[in-house]
Amino acid sequence: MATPDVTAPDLTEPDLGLAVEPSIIGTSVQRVDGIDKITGRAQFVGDVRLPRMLYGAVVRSPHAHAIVKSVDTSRARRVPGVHAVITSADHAHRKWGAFRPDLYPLAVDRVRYVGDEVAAVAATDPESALRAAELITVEYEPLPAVLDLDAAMADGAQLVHDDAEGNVAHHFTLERGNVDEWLARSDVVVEGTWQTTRQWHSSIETIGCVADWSPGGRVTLWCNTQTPFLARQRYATALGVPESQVRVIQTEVGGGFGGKSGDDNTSVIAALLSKVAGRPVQLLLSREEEFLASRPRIPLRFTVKLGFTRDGLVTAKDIAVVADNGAYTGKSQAVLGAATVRHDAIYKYKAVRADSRLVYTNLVPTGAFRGFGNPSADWAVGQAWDLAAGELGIDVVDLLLRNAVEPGWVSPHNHRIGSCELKQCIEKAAELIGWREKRANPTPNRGLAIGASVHVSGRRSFGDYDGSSAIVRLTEDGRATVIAGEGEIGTGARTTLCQIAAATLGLSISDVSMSTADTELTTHALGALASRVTYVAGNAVREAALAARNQLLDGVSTLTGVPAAELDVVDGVLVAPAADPDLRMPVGAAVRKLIYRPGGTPIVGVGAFDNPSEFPDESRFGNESGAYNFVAEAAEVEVDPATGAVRVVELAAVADCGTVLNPALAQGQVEGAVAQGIGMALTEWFDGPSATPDRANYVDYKLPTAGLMPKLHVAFADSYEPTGPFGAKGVGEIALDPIPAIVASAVADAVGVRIHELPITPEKVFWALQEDE
Amino acid sequence: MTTVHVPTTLASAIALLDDGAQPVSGGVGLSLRRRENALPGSLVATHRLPQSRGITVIDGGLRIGAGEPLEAVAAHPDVRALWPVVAEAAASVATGRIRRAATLGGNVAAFDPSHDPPVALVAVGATARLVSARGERTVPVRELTEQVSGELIVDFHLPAPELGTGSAYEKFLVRGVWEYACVSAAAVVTPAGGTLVVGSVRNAPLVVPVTDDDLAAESASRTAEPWSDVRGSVAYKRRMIAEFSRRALRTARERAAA
Repeated sequence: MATPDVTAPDLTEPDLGLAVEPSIIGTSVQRVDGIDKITGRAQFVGDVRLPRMLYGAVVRSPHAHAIVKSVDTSRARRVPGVHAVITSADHAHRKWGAFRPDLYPLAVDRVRYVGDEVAAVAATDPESALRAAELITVEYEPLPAVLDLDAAMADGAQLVHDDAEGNVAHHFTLERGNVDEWLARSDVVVEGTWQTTRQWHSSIETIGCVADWSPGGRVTLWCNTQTPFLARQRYATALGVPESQVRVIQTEVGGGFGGKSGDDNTSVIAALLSKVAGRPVQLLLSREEEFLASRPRIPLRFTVKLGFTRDGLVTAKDIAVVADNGAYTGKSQAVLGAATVRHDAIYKYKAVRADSRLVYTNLVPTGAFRGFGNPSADWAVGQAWDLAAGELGIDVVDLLLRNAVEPGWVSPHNHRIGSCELKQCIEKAAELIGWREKRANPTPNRGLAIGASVHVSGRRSFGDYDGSSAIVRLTEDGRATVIAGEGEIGTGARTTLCQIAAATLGLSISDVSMSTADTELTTHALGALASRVTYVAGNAVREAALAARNQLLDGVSTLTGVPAAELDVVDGVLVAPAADPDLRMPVGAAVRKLIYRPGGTPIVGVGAFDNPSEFPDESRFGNESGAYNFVAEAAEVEVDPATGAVRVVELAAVADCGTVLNPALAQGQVEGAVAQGIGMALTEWFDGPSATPDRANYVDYKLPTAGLMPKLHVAFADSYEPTGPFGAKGVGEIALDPIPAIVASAVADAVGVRIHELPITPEKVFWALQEDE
Repeated sequence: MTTVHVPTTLASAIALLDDGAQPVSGGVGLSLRRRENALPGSLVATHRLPQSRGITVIDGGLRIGAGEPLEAVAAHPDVRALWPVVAEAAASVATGRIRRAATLGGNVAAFDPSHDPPVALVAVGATARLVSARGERTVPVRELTEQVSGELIVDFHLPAPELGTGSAYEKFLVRGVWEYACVSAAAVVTPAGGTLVVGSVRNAPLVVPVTDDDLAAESASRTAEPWSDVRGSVAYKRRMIAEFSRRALRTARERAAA
C-alpha cells in the first residue's frame, strides 16, 4: 500500500505591508475548537438535550410516484409515549425551495420519489417513535414513474409536477461570440457525450435538528446547517410563519459538503412536530434516511463540442446539458448554472454556446455538493480537452498551458480574472508528478493525465448581495470575541477567522474566540457555501478587527496623550516604541480603563464586506465573484487489464488560493477533496439503472478508504489576491473538481479505453478492453 | 429484551442452547440483526468456553477452536505455514476491527455464500465438531449447510497437508475497499491433483476437482451461479471467477514447488 507522501506546501510570505504577527498568518495554528471536538465536549445536534424533549421519526413513501389516497394514524396515536403525529393536514400547504418552490413539508396528495416524506411522529424515546411510524397506514395508488432522464424527456412522459411541462424545471440558453463560425474555422473539432451520477455527501454526522416551538408562537431550531440565515428564510416560508418567528442556532456541524445547506424537510418536520406536541423535538436522520432525504450531487449529461486551431489554440465550445433534478428542485437550478458557465474561466475560449435543461424525475432530489457542478462539467469538458490533445498531437500539459487564463482575462460571461496562477499550478503539478520523466519512460498499463479547474470565492446568488458582516469585541480581560453568523461546518473556518482577527489586533490566537452562529445574536451571513467564508467573511472580520483596533488606539491616545498613529499592539500589549518607549499597557487594562470612567465606552468594532462581483443575469452573464481560485491536478493510474480495476498510484494537486492562511487546514481541504473525487470516480455508486438506492446503506455504497489514497503531492501556488484578507481566496471545493476527469483520461492513456459514464467501474473498463481486442 | 448468558463450561452452554437460546460468538452478525430489531430473546456467549479456544497442531494437521477470532487465525504461524489458504481467507475478511471480533465458528455458522473462511475450510477438507445435548458429531465443513437448533460448533480440524501441497486464497474487491467479494476462490493443489473452491456465488462453496488448472478455472466459471449486483453483472463475474481461480491455482502451484 502506498504511503501518502505529502510534500510541505511552498509558502512564500508576501509583503503584506501590515504590522502582521508572522506567527499567525500562514501558520498551522491548532484548530481553536480542536480540544472540544476531540474530547467530546462539542455539541452536535445529537448532543442537544432540552427538558421534555421528544424524538421524531418520519414515514416515507415506498413508491416512486403515487397518489396518497389516505393516511390512517389512529394506531400510531395509541402507542404509549407518542405526543404528536403529523400529516399534510398539519402544515400550511406552502411550497418552498431555494429557487423553484416545489416542495411541501409533508407530501400533499402525491408522493414523487421513494423516500418522500408523508407523515411523522414524536415520542418520548426514539424506539417508540419508530414503532408508531411503522403503525401509520398509508393507502397509495401507484402512478407511472419516470426513472431516468430519457424516460422523463420522452414525448408524453408522465409529469412529475403538473406545472412543469415536459418535466422541464428550468431551461436556459446562451451564446457568446459566434460559435458556428469559430467551429467552421477550426482545424480540429472533438466531440462526445459524458454522464455523471448521484454522489452522496456522506458527512460523518447526518442531517438533524432540535426544534422548540414555544407557546408564544416562536420556534427555535438548533440545526447542523451550513447556512443559518438562509435556512431561517426558507424554513419560515415552509412553516407559513413570518421570519421573525423563527430563530436558527447552529450547532457544531459534522461535515457539510453542500448537503446541509437547507433544501430538505428535516428541520421543517421537527418544527411541525414540536408545534403539535408542545414540546421540543429532536429529529436526526438515520444513515439509511440520509440517502433518501438529503440532496446528493446532480447527475449531468454533457454533450461537448470543442474546436482548436492546428497549433492548439482553443476556439469555441458548444455544450448541451441535461440534468436529472430528481423530484424536487432545491439548489440544482443554480448547480446547473455553475456547471454551464463556470469552467469557461479556465481556458481562453473565443466563443461559447450552451443549452441547459433541468429535468424532473421520480428519483431522489439533488442539490449542492462540493464543486457545485464543476466536477461534472470537468468530467465532460476536461476529458474533451484530453481527447483534443491526442487529436492535435500536442502534449496535454503544453495544450493547457497554451490556453490557460491569466490575470486580467475576462471570460465570455464577464468573469473578471484577478489574481491567477493557473499556469504556475499546471507547471508545478506536472513537475511534482514527474510528468516529463514518466512520459519518456512509460510503464505498461500505467497512464497519466492532467486537468485544471476554477472556482469562485463566494458567488452572487441570493439577490444582489454576497457580503458578510462581523463584530469584534475587545474584552476587559484582554481578549477578542468575533461575533459572526457564518459559522463553522468542520472546515476550520472558525480558526482562520480567529487568525485574521488575532493578526489584525496584535493578539495571540489563544486570546481570540468566535461566537456560535445564531440568527438572533450574530451578524447576518449567507454561510458556508461557494467557498466564500475565508474570502468574504475573512474580509468582514478583518474590517471589524481594524475598527476595534482603531477605537482602542484612539481611546488609549486620549488616556495617555500619545498620538494614535504612534501606538501599536504587540503580543497583546499596547506600545509606542518611538513616542513613549516606557509605555506597556496590556490590552485588557486599556479596555477596562476605557469602560470604567465617566461616559466610558466599550470597544466594539463592526466590519462589513461585499464581494466585488456582479449579480449574473438570466443568461448567467456577470462577474459572479470578486476572486477566482484555481487548481491543476495530475494523476497516474494503473489498470489491471485482466479485471479492469483502476488504481490511482500517484497524484499531484496544486491550488491557487492566494495566501495560505493556515497550511494544515488548506492541505486538509485539498486532501479531502482528492479523496472525495476518487470516491466520485471509482467507488461511490448504487446498483441499477436509476443509480438510486434499493438498499440505502453503506453495504452497497462505498466510500474510498485511506488505503485507496495515492502517493499524494499537495502544494500551493505562490499567489496573492489583492482583494482578499491578507491575500487569501477560497479553497474548500476546488481540488475535487478535476479528479474524476483526470482518472478517466489517465485510464485512456494507460489502456486506450475511455469511460464516458461515471462511475469508472472495473466492469466498464474490462468490457471496453474486450471490445478493443 | 435479550438475556445474554456467559457460561464457563460446555455442559452449561449446551443446556442453555437446548432450552432454545442462540449462540453468540464475536457478535458481528448479531449486531447487524440488531438494526432490524431481530434479536433473539436468549443468547449464549461462547468466548469463555475453553473447548472453543486455541489453535494447535495435531498429527501434522490443525485444530482451531471455533471461538478463535479471525485475526488470530490469520496471524497464527502454524496456520500460515500449514494452510496459507485458511490464513489468507481469514485475513481477507472486512477490517481489522471486525476480524478481532468475528470468530471462525461464527463466520461459518452464518452460512453466508460470500463469507471467505468457509471457502478455504472446504478447500482443505476441514471438518467441524458439533456438540449438543444429544451428543457430538463431526461433519465435513463442505456438508455443513445449516445449524441444527441446540448445536454448537466447538472446533475445526484441518488435515495434515500431504507432501508437495500448496494452497492460496484470492478474492476480488472491485472497488478496492472492504466489502463482500465480487468473486472469491480457494485453491489447494497436490502432486496428484487438487481442489478449487469458489465463493460469493449462489451455489457456494462450489467445489471443482483440479486435474488441469485452466480447465478447472473454466469449469468453475461455467458451473458457478453468480448473481448480478453492485459488484458486477453475471457475465463479468463469470469471467472474474475464471481469472481469480487461475490466480489462486497459480500461487498454490508456486507454493507447492517452493
